[in-house]
Amino acid sequence: MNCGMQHSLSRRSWMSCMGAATASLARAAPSGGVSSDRQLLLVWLDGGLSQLESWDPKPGTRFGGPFRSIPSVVSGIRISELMPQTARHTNKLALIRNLCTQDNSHSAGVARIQRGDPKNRGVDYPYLNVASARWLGPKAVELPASMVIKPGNGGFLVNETGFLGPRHAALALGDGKPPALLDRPADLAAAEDDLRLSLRDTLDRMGATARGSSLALANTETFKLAETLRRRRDLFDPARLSRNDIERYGDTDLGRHLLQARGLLEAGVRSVKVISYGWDSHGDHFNGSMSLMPQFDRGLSALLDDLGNRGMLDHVLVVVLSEFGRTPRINGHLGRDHWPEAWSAAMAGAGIVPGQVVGETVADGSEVKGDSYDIGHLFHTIFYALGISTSAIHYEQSGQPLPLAHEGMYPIKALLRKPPENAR
Amino acid sequence: MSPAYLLLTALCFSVESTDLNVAIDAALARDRTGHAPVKIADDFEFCRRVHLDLVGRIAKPDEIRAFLAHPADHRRQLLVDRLLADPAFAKTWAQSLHLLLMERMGDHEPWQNYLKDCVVSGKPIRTICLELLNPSAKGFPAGAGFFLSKRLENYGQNPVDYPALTRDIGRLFLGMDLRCAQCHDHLTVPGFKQAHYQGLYAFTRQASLGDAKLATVMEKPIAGKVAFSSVFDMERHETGPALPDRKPLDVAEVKTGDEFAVKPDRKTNNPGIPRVATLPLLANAVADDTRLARTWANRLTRSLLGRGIVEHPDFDHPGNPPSLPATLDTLANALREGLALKSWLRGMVLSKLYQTASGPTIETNNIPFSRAIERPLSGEVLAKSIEVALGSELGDEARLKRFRQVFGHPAREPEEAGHPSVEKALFWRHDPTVRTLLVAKPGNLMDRLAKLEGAPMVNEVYMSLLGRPANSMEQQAVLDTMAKSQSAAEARRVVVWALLASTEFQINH
Repeated sequence: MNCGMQHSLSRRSWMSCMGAATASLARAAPSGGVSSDRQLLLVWLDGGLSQLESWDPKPGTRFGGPFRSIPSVVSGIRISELMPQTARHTNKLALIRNLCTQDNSHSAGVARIQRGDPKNRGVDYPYLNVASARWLGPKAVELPASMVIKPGNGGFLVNETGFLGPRHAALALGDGKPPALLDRPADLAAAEDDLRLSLRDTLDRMGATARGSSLALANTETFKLAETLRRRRDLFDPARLSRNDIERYGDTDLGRHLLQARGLLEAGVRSVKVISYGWDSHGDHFNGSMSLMPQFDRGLSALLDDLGNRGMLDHVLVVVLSEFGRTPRINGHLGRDHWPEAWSAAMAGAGIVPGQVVGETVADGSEVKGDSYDIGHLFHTIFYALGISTSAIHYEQSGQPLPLAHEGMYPIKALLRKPPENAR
Repeated sequence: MSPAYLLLTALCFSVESTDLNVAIDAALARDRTGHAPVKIADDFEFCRRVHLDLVGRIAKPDEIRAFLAHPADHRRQLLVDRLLADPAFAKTWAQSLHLLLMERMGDHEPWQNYLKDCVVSGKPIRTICLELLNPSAKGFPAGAGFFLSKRLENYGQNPVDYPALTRDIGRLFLGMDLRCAQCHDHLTVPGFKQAHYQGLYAFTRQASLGDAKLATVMEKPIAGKVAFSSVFDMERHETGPALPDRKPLDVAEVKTGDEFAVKPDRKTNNPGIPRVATLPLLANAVADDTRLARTWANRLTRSLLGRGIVEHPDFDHPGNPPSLPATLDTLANALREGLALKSWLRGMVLSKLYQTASGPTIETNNIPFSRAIERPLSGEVLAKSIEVALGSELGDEARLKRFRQVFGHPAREPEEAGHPSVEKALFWRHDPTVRTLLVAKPGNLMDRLAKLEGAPMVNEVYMSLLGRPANSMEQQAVLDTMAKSQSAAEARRVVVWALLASTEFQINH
């Protein structure tokens, strides 16, 4: 077996492919990668954003709920009144209102939607943020290609990497805080730390020469990356966020994390995912929406403001996604349940035609009217927007090619500034 | 341990295991005909390697010195026999089998006891296979069912992952990863057909979880043949239970209403016993299949040498032939003939194949296995080795858990290749677990080092951590660093930490 053959992308043999391994750790573009300045920001609203209280309101219908729709800056596009600030930015957004996907459970849907669900492939695909970073490679020399900001614990999210293996794991900042153990302990003097690191490096280099050790070289790279992260702790330190910015984004988890995401993108992290929990509103949905939606509205609108003003929307693709939408029918607990049959997503920035709505749902929002799109269509579109051609590039796994996205689906022509020939 | 005990232990090993290392060497010579001899590991390297592989830890300096004090011509055999008689051997190999079979999907006490018993009692591979794949058979040991029961659990709202179970049986018992063949014939492996996957699936699809805590498995009556079609041509096919490349088994048709030999009873929660159960058929078919012993010989070789003679072991097919065919046949035949794991391991570690010296991984003159390669230590072995090296107990389960968390592979990832990560680097640099180990306590390494200085001190660190003396360049580098330290205590911490965090400490080579 050689590097180009079986399992070339799995962890099983990666150490035998030293060139690719060290490259992926920090520096050069990945093997077979794509040259592009594009970056991805995925805003993942875990639990399921209600399309009816956000991108596809149906006021006055039997399932519409108590909230009105409001006009936005783009004539003809109305969104929920819970998003008044975002309404000023619909000229930057493309709304997709005709998503129809397969899973109505969190345990299946969260992974399936983020893996793009290329059906019946018998392998676990990497999540969108990991896959994008794999193909685009690190943008900034010293930073990880893929990072996540989320409430709760941080660490390296190996379960997102699928068959790419844990070396592609995104570094997650739990509660936006630096990775665990980033700080030098108080009882360890800097001089002693430098001395021992230097000796470790020297001895490993000697070992690498004597044993022809590829592992030693890779280890040295990870120690260097750990040191870089320690020195760039400004990127991970919530205390360094400006008060004014926090005010604009909202002093909430989601607001602060979106603000931090802006910083990571500016620093050159290729793929950033912001995860927000608490969107699974089976009960008291409307009061919950009045609490959650303003947080989202404020953070997203501030982010779109900043990305636009700084010229970053030319190369940063923003995607707002959940595992599904929520039922039009209001349940006995005044909640909305899981609804993959007809829901919405939003995109902005690089490669995307803004200021439009793609697709529609029927009057009460219970199903898609006309053509629907599955997550595979969205993946093709996202990859193309990032400069990754899903028809020209494929994974290689167990000696056979695997498509980046569902081969029975295609890019959405209306969404892409430069649609490929197979877009529809 | 007394010399008399060692002699007795040595004599107790059957002629078969003694013959096995001779047979492996002879086969290896046939496979390497025309090639120059390859270098054999020196005593330091062998001593460290065989400790890690057989008892799951590095050797202590005293053990290395005692090993070297024996006559050179049979010191390795004496050491191997001592380690095989060590109670840690059964525990280490139960863990190795656990990782090989469960790939960190979960753990279960009766399962660990079962694996330990497999090692201690010398069960042939065929018997282990029968027990794993048909755990409900009368008289079969408790715990064996965990292999299937864990794979039959639901996770969240996801359905039972029958495709993964089917794949695992193909991979682990027959050397065939049929995941791509679930939907179509494999694109690049002509021998891996969709019918092979579906034939195996016809065995497994009736199985369901009995009781997760008890690791029991139930079976439903067989539901006719499995229908399938390739995603490429959509042509309809069907198959009954069949091992790859073997005829489908003749399964007697059972009339509707007469599917059960013992009918299910909801009142007593008895799932019933079908007239035709497919797991016993599967177990017997696999146990009688020649690929079983070959696959296990290859997998066990891989866990000892870091690579399979067929590499990767999940892709054993004519287009991917063994690099040492005669050697693989010898190793497989020994298992096929019922040699116990312990005896097989003895033959293997005393062979020239195992004792090859480490060095650059590029094969010398294209001779397969001419150099031993680096194998990262599992979290468990690493933790134990740290305890031995520093003479300090890691102590509570929480600390061991931390090692498993940082150094163990995620579930379903075979413990094969290493993967350096920033998380590991930060663990070595800043985790309090590591920091507290570098404090001198009576009798531990830091305490012993405080009584030494200069070259003897450097050699003691190297013997304690890496199981060998430092070479002159290493010694100079260490002494230069120590000279820059603020104090002798700091110098000792610096040196011990640098070697602990070095790649060499964390691998078997």
